Amino acid sequence: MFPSDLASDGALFLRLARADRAHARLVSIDTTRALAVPGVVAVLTAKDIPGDRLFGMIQRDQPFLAEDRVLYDGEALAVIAAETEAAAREAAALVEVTYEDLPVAGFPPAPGDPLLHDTRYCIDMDLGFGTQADAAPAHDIEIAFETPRQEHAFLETEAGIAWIEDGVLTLSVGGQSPHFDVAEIAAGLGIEQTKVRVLNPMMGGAFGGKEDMNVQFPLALATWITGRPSRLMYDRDESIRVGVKRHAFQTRCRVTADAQGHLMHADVEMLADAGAYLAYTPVVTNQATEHCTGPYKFASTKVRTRAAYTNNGIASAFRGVGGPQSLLGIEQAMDVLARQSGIDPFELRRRNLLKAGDLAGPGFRLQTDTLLAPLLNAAESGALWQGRDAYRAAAPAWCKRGVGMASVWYSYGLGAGGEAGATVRLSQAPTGRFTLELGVPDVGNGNLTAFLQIAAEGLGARIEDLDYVMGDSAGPNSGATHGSRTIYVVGNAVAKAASELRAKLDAGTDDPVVEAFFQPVQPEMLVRGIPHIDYNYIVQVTALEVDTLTGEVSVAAIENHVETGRMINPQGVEGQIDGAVAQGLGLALYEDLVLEEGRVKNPNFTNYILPTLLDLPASTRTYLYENPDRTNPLGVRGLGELGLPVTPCSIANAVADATGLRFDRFPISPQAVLDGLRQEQGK
Amino acid sequence: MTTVNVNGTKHAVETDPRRPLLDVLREDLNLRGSKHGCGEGECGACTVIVNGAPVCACLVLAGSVEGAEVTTIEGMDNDPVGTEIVRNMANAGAVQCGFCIPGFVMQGWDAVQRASGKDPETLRAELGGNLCRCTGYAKILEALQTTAATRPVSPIRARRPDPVPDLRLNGYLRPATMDALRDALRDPGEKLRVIAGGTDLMVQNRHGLETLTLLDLSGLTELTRIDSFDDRIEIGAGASWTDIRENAQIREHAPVLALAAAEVGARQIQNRATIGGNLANASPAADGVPPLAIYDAQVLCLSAKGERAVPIQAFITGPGKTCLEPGEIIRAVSVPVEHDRQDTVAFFEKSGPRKAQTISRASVACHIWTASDGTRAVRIAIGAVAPTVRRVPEAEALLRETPDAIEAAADLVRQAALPISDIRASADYRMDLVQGLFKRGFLRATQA
Repeated sequence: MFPSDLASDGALFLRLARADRAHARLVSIDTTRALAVPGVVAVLTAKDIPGDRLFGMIQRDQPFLAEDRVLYDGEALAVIAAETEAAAREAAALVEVTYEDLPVAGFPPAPGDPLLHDTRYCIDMDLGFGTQADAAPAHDIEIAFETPRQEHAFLETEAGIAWIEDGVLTLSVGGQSPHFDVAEIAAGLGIEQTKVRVLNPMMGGAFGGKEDMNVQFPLALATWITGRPSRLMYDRDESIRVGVKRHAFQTRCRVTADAQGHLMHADVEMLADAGAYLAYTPVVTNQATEHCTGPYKFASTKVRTRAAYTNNGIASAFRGVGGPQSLLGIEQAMDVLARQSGIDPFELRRRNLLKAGDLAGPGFRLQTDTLLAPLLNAAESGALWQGRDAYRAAAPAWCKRGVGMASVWYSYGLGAGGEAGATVRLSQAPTGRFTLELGVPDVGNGNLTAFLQIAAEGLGARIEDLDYVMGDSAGPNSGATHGSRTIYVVGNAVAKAASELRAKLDAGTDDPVVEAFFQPVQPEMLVRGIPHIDYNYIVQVTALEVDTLTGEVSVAAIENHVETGRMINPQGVEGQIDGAVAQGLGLALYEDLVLEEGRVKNPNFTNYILPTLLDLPASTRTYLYENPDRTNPLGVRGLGELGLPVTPCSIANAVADATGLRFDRFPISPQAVLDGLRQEQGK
Repeated sequence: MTTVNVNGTKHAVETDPRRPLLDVLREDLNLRGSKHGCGEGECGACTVIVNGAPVCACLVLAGSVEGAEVTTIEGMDNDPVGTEIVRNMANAGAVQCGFCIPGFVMQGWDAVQRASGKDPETLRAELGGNLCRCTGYAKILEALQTTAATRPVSPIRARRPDPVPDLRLNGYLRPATMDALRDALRDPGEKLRVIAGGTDLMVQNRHGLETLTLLDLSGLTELTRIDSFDDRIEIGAGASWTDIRENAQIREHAPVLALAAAEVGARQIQNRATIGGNLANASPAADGVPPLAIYDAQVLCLSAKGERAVPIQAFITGPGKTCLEPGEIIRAVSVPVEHDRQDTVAFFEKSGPRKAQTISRASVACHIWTASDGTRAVRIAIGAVAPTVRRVPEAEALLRETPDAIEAAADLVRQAALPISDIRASADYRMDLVQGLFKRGFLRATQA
């Protein structure tokens, strides 16, 4: 049962009355007519919130329900609870709001834009190391582009139910962080955390988009105040309109190199659209900052990262946070450098790989050598790269074909200072069956299977002998399912619990239960969140066809070479890479949330374009190379995100191979391709 | 009270027939395996089988399936095809979050039977109407390929719906005979909306269906007939795009219409959407209209007063506008037939924001042939680039005289376009696109 499948007898249907302004002062909210709708039980506004009215994981800046002002279109104003869905919908439309309109702050910020918070820029970092050499570089390359807001588009929208059980307010919802949610809900209701329990059953996808609170507080508030069970599922257009998004970025990446292709200086400037509240913006901008010069060695770097508050909804975490927005700069620059210098793109990268002890990115010391060289070798001798001339030559008359590559690093686990560790519990019942309890949910990423495999192996038991309780705040706190951390951190806690319980059982214990805590080794901190103890690596080769008559790009084949750490479930690893690649392909070619004056113009699946099976290449091959991480006992690395950021990079490079064109906006639209081809012809 | 026959059991449900079948399945029958993903027929997560054909349950009116056999994912438990798909999905690791999977099993059930013994592209082409956000589709496809290779056969078969009685409720009319239909049209009232497949109307009125006054044509099997005569093919307004793309007479005599039928949405939509609905909805981007325009089809409009034939180009008068009078519906579309065409070049090219389940940014229908008397016929129509579909007589005349003047004809096609800019494309791009599609279509059709 998914969160949207849950229902309980007598549950109230909830709907949210939402603002239809992107920026306004709230003069008044009149709920009289809404309350008069037959079947409506309650219409709750900010005044009805008994505890803290603000929430936020990193900064408590976001109101559960808007009170005196609206900062984005669709911001929630009131929670309607009714006996039927129709009544709730009708009442939501009858909440009468008087606004005083205010000018809208867009992206990028313009002079005269209103200030939404104390500061325009919630993030403003100026980092880097070394000083740019005086010597004139042989190559000086600049790549500038913008990336769109990307919608998570989990197939199940935000959904769940709430009820009161033995005096405990209990929620079963799509979310990624049950323990965090409990803290937020308890604070908002002004009650003890022991009075709140959050369950995260298997849900229809998350991808970072369910880390932030969504239906949790409306459900909690309605059920706590009415005493009745309640249910809520966002409509698709509601989910796209108000749900968090990947940050739109404007990125400029300048790279210099000597005549032999040795990198000299990198100068990266990034500006992110944070939207109305902070949410996970600092994590996103940190990741972008940390990774933006790639796994390559520079003599000096300069990295400026900013994020601006705007009235464009809320941006937060999305798989591969900050990755595509930053890596598209360096990976395209490397591609241009290879072409300019005449050095093979694989060789160019091999020449510049970071080693342990080198200063990297914005100025942290890498702990271990990059593991890219073998991947580059394998990809270079792979079928797709070796067959590129034949593939290009076989293009139909109206098409140009290209083959491109990219090599990417991406961290796993939370960055320096960010990882609080994970606790799990493992026990054996008198029947001989084991129970594994952990707080993190499986959001569709398959970590449950891996946890059971790890526990079974450690116990010397069969997976069939294990029961589990997962995604439950009543269980041990193992943190959240995010940041490619669960196998790496929680998995090690499971391994530890299994070996401790086995030792206890071997010793003939009469108390067959253990609680194990694991916190990974942390690297020295540059700034909080940067760097990570180690990175994952992938090399991707993409073959595609550009239709010169329509500008359409069709990806024909993708070959991935992935360095994996110890693999628990290779099929699951492949699945994670496949899925991330599809989302990266969407970002590269299709997915574009269109905003006008803060309003989403395409809040539906008809016009927010997700790739179908026919938009994915007919051939995808993924080669996995096991290379255990030495900083954690299991030797695992988190691989849930890595496949996403690399994909737009290799696609952009393949399009350039086919056409000679670089694009200043993603997704690459067929119109931009046609315009570019025409300009080339005109030259 | 609405009766639905689901997984072999007849349920009498106390519900408004204007609700989506999906809501009745999930809320009233507690069959929650069919998922609510989008409510607009885009994601396929709610796919169920109605009379042997997969459709999106969110776009099916509950009242329209009274005489039908509905099979949901819960009914796949004992089906040899369904169980084989599920087993292969488990083995392939095809399931991540699992939310799209019931829809893939249901659509896959049809797809593997259609594709069995055919090339892999056939299977892929059947799956454009199901979105998955987790897996990148690779392992789902692998599982379905494995299933197709075993050629399993299901006892669930395509069938005609059982006859249903006339239904006249407040806000919902479902005539069972043509006489009852004419009765209903006699005094239609201002609010009456006609619903056939429902794939447009139900999207447009997602949260307000129960406030509409609907005339549901689903009980009229007469309207789904495709009749072939010596001089014409009469396609009932209720014929689905699947009916049309698979009809041998249409494939022979109006091949561009059959090609276009295969491009209307994906399979679930083609199984449900009707040619009459496509015309009545009168979207400038409707894929069914350009082929009908090149064949000079007539729209047969029925009212209580009788029937009149309207040329297709006169029928649609603007975006969302037709010449239908109140109390008038489309009974059928008549496509003239010409025998013994020689040297045929026929293509339908469309381009939308993606490769499947997509709304055209531009489309081109073209059929060129030499008639039995030796005269050369050139028919070209363009869609989604003007308020209504346009024929391109200048390009037709040029190619009649100078068959090789493709570049010049493409320029004329471009000049015929009067596009707007909208969320899907700019006007400039649509001009480029329609020109490019014409050339591409010609190149593909003549080089193949």
